[in-house]
Amino acid sequence: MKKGHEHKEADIVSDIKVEHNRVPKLLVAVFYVVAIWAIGYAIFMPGKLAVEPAAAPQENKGELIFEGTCLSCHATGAAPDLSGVAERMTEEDIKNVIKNGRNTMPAIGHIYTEKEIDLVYEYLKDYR
Amino acid sequence: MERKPSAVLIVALILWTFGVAGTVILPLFDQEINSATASGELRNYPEDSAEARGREIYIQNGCQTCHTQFVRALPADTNQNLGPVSQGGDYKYDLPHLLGSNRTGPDLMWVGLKYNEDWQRQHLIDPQSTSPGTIMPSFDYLSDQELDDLVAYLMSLKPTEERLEEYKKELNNPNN
Amino acid sequence: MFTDEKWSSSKNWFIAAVFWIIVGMTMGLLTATKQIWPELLNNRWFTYGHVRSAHVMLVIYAWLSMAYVGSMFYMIPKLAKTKVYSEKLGNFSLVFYNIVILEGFFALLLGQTEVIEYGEFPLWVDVQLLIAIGLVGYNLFKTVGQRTEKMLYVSLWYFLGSLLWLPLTWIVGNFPARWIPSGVQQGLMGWFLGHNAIGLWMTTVGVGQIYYLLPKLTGRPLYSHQLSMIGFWAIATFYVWNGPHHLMNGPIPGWISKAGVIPSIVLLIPVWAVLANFWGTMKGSWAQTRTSVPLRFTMAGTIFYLFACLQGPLQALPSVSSVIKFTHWTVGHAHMGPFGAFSFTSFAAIYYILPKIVGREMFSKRAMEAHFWFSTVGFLVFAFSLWIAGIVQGFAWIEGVPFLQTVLMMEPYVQGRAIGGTMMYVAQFFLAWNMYKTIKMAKIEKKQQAQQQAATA
Repeated sequence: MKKGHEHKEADIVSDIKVEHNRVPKLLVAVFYVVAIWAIGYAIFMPGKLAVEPAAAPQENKGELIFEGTCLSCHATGAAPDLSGVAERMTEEDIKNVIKNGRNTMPAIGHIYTEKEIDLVYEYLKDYR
Repeated sequence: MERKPSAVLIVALILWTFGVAGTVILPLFDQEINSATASGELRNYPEDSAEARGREIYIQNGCQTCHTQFVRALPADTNQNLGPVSQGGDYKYDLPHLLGSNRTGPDLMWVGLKYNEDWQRQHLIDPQSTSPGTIMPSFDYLSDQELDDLVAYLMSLKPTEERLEEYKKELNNPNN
Repeated sequence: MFTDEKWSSSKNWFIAAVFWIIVGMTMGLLTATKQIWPELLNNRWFTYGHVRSAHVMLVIYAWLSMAYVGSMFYMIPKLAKTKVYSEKLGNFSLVFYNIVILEGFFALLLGQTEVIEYGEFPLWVDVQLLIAIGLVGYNLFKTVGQRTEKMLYVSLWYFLGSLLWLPLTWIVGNFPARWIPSGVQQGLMGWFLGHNAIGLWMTTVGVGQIYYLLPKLTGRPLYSHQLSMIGFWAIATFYVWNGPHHLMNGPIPGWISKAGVIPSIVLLIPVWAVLANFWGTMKGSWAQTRTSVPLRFTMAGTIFYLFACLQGPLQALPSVSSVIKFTHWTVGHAHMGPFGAFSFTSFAAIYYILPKIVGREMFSKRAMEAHFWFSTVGFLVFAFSLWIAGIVQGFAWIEGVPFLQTVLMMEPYVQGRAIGGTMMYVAQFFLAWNMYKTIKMAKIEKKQQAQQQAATA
């Protein structure tokens, strides 16, 4: 590219002066980077993220499920308080109620795995 | 080109047409999103069934402005126990689509799995009684018939047994 | 019945626009408040979903679109060095357009919605709105047709393109979907409208406004013809493709997702070209923003446009999207273009054009200042509340925090949003009052002049 002054004269369009400055070099570089990225992306990248369903369960999963699901009834007076429930019922009974429901409590076994229900029970054992 | 409006318009039209072809027309021929999955078939409600009426009530009351029906294979969704990842074919009969764009409230793709009828009804009439602190408004202005229909629709939002088994198998897979 | 007075179309479209920004933002503020007190005004008509839809549709198709048409009814004839093809038709289409918007507003409150975002009006309203847009387009195309200036200034390319793209995009988004027997297909069509109402109407007319206003307000020449060309043709090429990124990581095949993601990021090219052109033009004129409120609105608009268009491509990356999609972040982003960038340029257009039409300065400079500062500070409070909220919310979901708890966590941010929103809302009353006073004073002054002339004669 030639340097400097060889600008075309400015045009006047609708009484507005329009100059013919060159595109800044930095901007041209950005254009190239974006264009190269686009081609690379089109060829090499997957269309969407594919994360395996449920990565390693978090340590506090039992607590999270308990607070998010159970407490919406069991902390509001809509259902009995669960403090010390593990002393009043056997492990098997508790898991059974979680899986199949009882009275007004819905069955929620089908949305959680065995492992998760175990974690909820573990959490309930120490729940006061 | 700088002198001819018609030239600007013609080129603008051609470029626009390319975009329509790429993002609207071509997908019409993609089988993945055009054939219903078994779970998608479950959403093919007979006309004037409670579920179909309930779906209308869901739309009329703008439930879709706060609730998505859209489960992605991402930690944000799997860690929230949203259920099986949704596929194009699940929406075959979801007309007009209720994918949604904002989770002011939780995703409802498979909400039929999570609560029973009584809970749903109670939650619609008085959300605070089942979810203290929630910002969902009450829908106590709906008639009993409307509530019945809406609950029927919500309860119908489930995958097939097989899909659910498959999903749980993946969850229990020790490799994950 | 309809006046033929010079510039009356432009003036009347502006007046209607400002009426609707008040109504539309009332709906917006009500939406924000309902997220704090959900039972506020909760009934069959004003339930949250209805109010939110009405807010979105009114601010875009009533306020912003009417302000755009108002400025085009002034800028296009000026650039074409001719008069408006038919002021009468311009005024008629205004009345018709307003009736249609009113119908749409009531339809939404009654629960009639098409579900398509940015296209929620039901079919019977869609058809009428298309006719109204068509009338405006016809009038303005005819105006360009009778031009006496041979060259087309860059603003005209944008206006011509937009007036062609809006009705076409409206058709694709609203009409065929009902005959397409697949939900995801409909989703793609809906988002074609959703994103292109923004890209091929809001953005393009707004950029056209800036191209007109900058040289006029600063008195400086436009920086580079070549950058204008790159900016316009790149946006015309790539923006159309943006729809699919709204269903990213979702139930669409990978190839459709890519077809949406790549153009979203390539958009950096037109955006930066356009902004380099604006800021090149501004070189040496920045000091003027201290005294000129319209210029300050324009430049603040370009800065918000830059940030909106840095966020946009970033959000289109699947990894970023996986955190912030569906959160409050998106709501903050969705306000930056329409409010921060293009409402600001429309305010500037009103402040520049109205005095020229009525033949008198804006009534109150202090009201203009108040309008600017309340709008800007209010928007920043509003937007940062939502962006922070979105990031917190996104990571809380990933952590597996129970959903209801994530809702409770959002409380302070939602309150911050409502406070910022209130400031944005209050700002518009300064605009409305100032406009009312200006027009009224102009009338009084004209009458006095006429009396004086009669007295001396």
